Amino acid sequence: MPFSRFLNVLRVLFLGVCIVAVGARVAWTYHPEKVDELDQWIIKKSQQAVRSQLELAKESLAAGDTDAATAHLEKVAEGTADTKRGDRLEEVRTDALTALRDVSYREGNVEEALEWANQLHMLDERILPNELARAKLFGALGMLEESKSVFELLDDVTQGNGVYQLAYFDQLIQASQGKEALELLFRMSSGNGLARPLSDWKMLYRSANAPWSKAKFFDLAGDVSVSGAIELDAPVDSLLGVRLDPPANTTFVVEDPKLVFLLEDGTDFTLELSDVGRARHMEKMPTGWRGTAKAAPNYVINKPQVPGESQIVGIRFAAEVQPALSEAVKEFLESDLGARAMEEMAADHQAGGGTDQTRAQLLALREVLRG
Amino acid sequence: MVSSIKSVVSFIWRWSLIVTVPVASAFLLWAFRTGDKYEDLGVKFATHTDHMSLYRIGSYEAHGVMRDISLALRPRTGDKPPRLRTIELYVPESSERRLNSELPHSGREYVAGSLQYPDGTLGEVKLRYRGDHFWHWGARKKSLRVKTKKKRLFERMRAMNFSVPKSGDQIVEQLSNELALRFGLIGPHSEMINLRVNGRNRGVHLLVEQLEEMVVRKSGKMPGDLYSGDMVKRNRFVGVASQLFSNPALWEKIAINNHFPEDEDTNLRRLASTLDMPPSEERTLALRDLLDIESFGRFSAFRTVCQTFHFDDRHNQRLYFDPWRNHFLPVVWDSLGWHQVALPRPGESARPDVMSSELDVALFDDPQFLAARQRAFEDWFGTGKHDAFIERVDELIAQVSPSLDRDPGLGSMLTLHSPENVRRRQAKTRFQINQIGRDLRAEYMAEPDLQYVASPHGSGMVRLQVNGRKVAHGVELAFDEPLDGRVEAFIAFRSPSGEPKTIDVSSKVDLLGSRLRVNVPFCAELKRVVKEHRTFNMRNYMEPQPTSYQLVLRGGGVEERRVLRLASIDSLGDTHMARKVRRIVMEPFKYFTEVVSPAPFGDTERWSGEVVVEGVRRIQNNVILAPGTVLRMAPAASLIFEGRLIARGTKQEPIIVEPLAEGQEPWGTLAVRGAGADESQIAWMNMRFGSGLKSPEAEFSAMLSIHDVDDAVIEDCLFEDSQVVDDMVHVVYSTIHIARCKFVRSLMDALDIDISEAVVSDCQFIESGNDSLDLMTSTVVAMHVTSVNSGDKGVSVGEDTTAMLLHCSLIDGAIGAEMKDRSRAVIVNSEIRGNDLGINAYKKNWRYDSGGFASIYNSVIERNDVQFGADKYSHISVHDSYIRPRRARGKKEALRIRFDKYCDRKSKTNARQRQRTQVRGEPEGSPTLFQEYWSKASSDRRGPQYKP
Repeated sequence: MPFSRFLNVLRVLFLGVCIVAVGARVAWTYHPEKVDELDQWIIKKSQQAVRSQLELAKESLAAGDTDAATAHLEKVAEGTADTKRGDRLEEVRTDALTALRDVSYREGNVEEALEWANQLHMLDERILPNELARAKLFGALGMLEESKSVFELLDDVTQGNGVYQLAYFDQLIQASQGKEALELLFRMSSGNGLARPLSDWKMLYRSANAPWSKAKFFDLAGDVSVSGAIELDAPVDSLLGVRLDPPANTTFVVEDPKLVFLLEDGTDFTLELSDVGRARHMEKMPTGWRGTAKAAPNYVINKPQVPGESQIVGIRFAAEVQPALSEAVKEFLESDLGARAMEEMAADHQAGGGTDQTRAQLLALREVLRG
Repeated sequence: MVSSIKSVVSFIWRWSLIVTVPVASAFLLWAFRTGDKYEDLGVKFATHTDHMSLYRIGSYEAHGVMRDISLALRPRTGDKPPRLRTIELYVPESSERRLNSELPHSGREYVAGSLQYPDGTLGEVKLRYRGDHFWHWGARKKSLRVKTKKKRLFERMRAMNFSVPKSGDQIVEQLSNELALRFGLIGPHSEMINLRVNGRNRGVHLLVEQLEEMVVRKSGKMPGDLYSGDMVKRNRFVGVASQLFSNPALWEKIAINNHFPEDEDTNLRRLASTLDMPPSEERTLALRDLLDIESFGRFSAFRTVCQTFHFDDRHNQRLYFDPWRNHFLPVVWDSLGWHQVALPRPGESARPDVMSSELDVALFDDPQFLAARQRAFEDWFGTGKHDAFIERVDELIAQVSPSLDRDPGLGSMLTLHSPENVRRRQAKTRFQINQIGRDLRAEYMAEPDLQYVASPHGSGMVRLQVNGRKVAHGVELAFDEPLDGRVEAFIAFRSPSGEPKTIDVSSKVDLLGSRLRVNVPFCAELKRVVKEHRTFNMRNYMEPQPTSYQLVLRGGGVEERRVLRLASIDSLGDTHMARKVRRIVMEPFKYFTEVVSPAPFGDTERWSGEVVVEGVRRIQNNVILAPGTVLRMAPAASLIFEGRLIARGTKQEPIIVEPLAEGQEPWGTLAVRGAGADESQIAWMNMRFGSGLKSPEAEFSAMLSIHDVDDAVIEDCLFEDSQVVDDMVHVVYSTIHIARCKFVRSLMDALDIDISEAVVSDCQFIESGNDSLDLMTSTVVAMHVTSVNSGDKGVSVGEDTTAMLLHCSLIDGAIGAEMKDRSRAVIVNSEIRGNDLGINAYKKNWRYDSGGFASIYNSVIERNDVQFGADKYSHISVHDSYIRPRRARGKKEALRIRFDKYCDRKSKTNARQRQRTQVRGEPEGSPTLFQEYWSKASSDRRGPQYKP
């Protein structure tokens, strides 16, 4: 190639690059939204393959086709194998591994479920529900030491969160570790947790241009379904907020909780209390909440919408309230394992190893057993 | 025409490469950098708020290319020399490639590198990128964490961060850190530096020491648990709330108190359970017991001055638990002061209260906390500290300025700024610091709004109403006639439940002729108003509420006197006239649960005869022990005196502290602690067979423990046969004089002095199991001290201690005197004889940058198996002393031990030079405490002058 021709090729090449540069400059200066669109397109494209597999897996799961779902999920797991914490695909990988773990477990492949749970653990060891699953899976495989160490870690991090403790309790009973189960029970049932908390509930409310009212105490009455009400100091058109405080230091389960707004014309309006995100020191249960034996649990409803023209004169709280552990405690204590554990604890106490607190707890447990 | 156009086009075409080559090169460079960064940080990684979009990365890199070109073309001749220190770091190319290979993940693994030390030598270090957020590793400048070897600290730092400034002005983080230290808070060392990596300028960085035990030590505190609470990004748990103050398990320990297991966190659990309690007097008192309220008051004032809300319920909390004062103290880290999000909006004043966490919410219910905060403000604004700080702002701006021009990555948060832009921002920051100071000064330093009502005929009753934030630290009443006799004072008020209460504060009354001062804080309550539209950590606003107190005075004829004037007293002692009004309505308190602390008269207990002690007793009253009192201590029984203890026996009737029964398990401790016990005195007390008391809440490591007590005196006491624990007598955070005491057969150390100022005179230590006198981070004079048969050192001078040993005899022990870890001892007219090792100096603890130093004058050092020892970090100088035999352990060691020409082995008593001379290596300007003792030194003789 003659030199002049070579130079011309160079000239064309560099001119082309310059034209692209000018294009880029124009896009960045005058059409940033187009750059953003390109950005979104690239990101979407880069994740499309795995995300679509995950969608297919979800559809298969919804249709009950676990084999197909597993195949799709495994592809997602494979496609996200080098994903690390903080990556865009972290969420996709987490979902896929969680689903694989659960599907495997449902299919009876406990070892495989544990393998997926471990992979998720390697991605992020701070996903506590996965740690809970690992602890249970270790237990199911008879790896009791591993299970115990994960449960102990969970117990520590969650500071007495009932969901984790209850699972640990089940695990200990399954492993016939009655005394440890009983000790855990003591921790879970701090305060008056083993009683059915029907007294010392309180409510506060706030109407427009007014501070929170003083706390109004009420008791719950009834057999299974219980309720209790407060009267407002003066009828109000609407409320800016209502705060419901269960009694402090109790572990309890509230099923189907609702607030009934009593109106001046004799009618009422019922509001289901389903969003546990508004609660402090309470956890979500399938149909209600669980109290976690903390000092100041409460549930706040902002701006409850009460339809109608009539003024609000009172508020009633209604629910099914149970001590959180009653069934589990009864079953355990009525079993031979529980009885043996009680005897061991009583013997320890008599030998001087017990404290006044353990004696009180033993008495409380005995009451529950009698009930 | 056509041909001329053709020729022009042809000309342009022919020479087009002159334009297209640089433009295309710049574009390709931009495209490569943008693509590379975009792939890792834009496509793959999910950055905070998706900040690293293609558009932002492209814009940033375009500015970067332009900056590179302008820096390359900029002549160097006009540049001012940098006024910031330059730190040189060397990272092998392969290591840097590894760090950058897959950001941000790859940056978290340490790689090897080298750091240039101030003496010009290179030291091996490990380094990595730091930070959870993109601004640390997404831009051109990257934040680095550098870790040195233990053997070679960098200016007493093991780990440090070279961080990219987060703010556009580059300086506010440094200013925040400096402000914290000026408020007397615990915080890391930090400074603005110029960082060069592999000889290339990386621009202005912030050097911040990584938080660890050394930060605590450097702030004059004993090593203890240091907790970090950060529940964001990678630290966050899924499945449990991130509220730090509700869950102690969310905290991580970054330094530990090695007297307890690593996972010990009882005190953090106590704090969490206390904060979980509903507001009550019990909660307030429990918090006062757990927290150093003065420090938290200063911490609050500091955050207000720099308007930072960055210490919230979920992140950026650091707490240190002082194991010897048994309090939590706040530790400042990443305070992010004067951040644009928190700065006052146009037309608004600075926020006068910063309440960004659950702990703050609880503290604002405590008038003692509000009084501490007020004191901190008054100290800051009333003593010129704020003005000095403004001068420092100017100085820092001037220091940073020359470095801005050559900074290749000057900017913040993935935006490059021009030097002019940064300077404009700095000027704005200075203006805002000034404005905020002015607003806060108006709020906290203005005349207090105090009103009062007093009967015109005198009745001893005065009603007060406090308005506004300014706390009155007391009130002064001027009467028409002088008062005679003792006056009792009571504060009456209505509690939140409406119940009337009266608190006796008589001991807080000072009589000054016809004036009377009641030194009790009077604060207005602050009502919390939550503004939901603000971010979670900034939504608490406080509104002062008019708050009424009734002051009831009795005795001294006060009921018959008329109140002429009433004034409030500030923390500097100045008075401010209160306004007399006709009527004040006593409203019940709504928020304060512990309005006034009781302080009655006559709270002194007198003990005499035989007193049997069982269990642990904590006594808050002042106590007087009569001569001849016998404290018979049951096993593990302990006495903790928190009021002043006056225990003065006599030679004929000493006070005895002994086991309840012979042969029993050891009793615990007799402890004196806290400011309430200042000026305690113990004399002619015989104590034996005690041990200590150890619990996570409080540890007492000796049978006599003096903690945080000023001006204590121990005289003519006999301590024998301590058991179980480390020390026989332990003094920490105190000033003390110990005289004419005898310490016999301690299990381990006989007298342990930590972070204190002490004079130990005319004391004897016999057969100490370990050290006779163990000193750490203290200033101590030991005069006429004799140690015989010590199991380890006669005197151990360690960890940044300055000691003077005058007329001391250290005989027949394992080691006579040992200086370690940045400690210096002046040994004068002393005798060190018959030990396995006479005088030793070395570096023991890697946290210190040097060993021990001793300057020895007019002493006798003889018949020790090894006379002297000194490692390469240490030095010993000997002047005009009797040395026999004269030898060190090796040739190298001999170089570190210098004898002047007056040393000999001729006379043990007579000096040769006969005049005081400063030897080489002695520190310039010895502590004030030593001055008066130099006069007791004798330069014309050698060895101790024994007293009759």
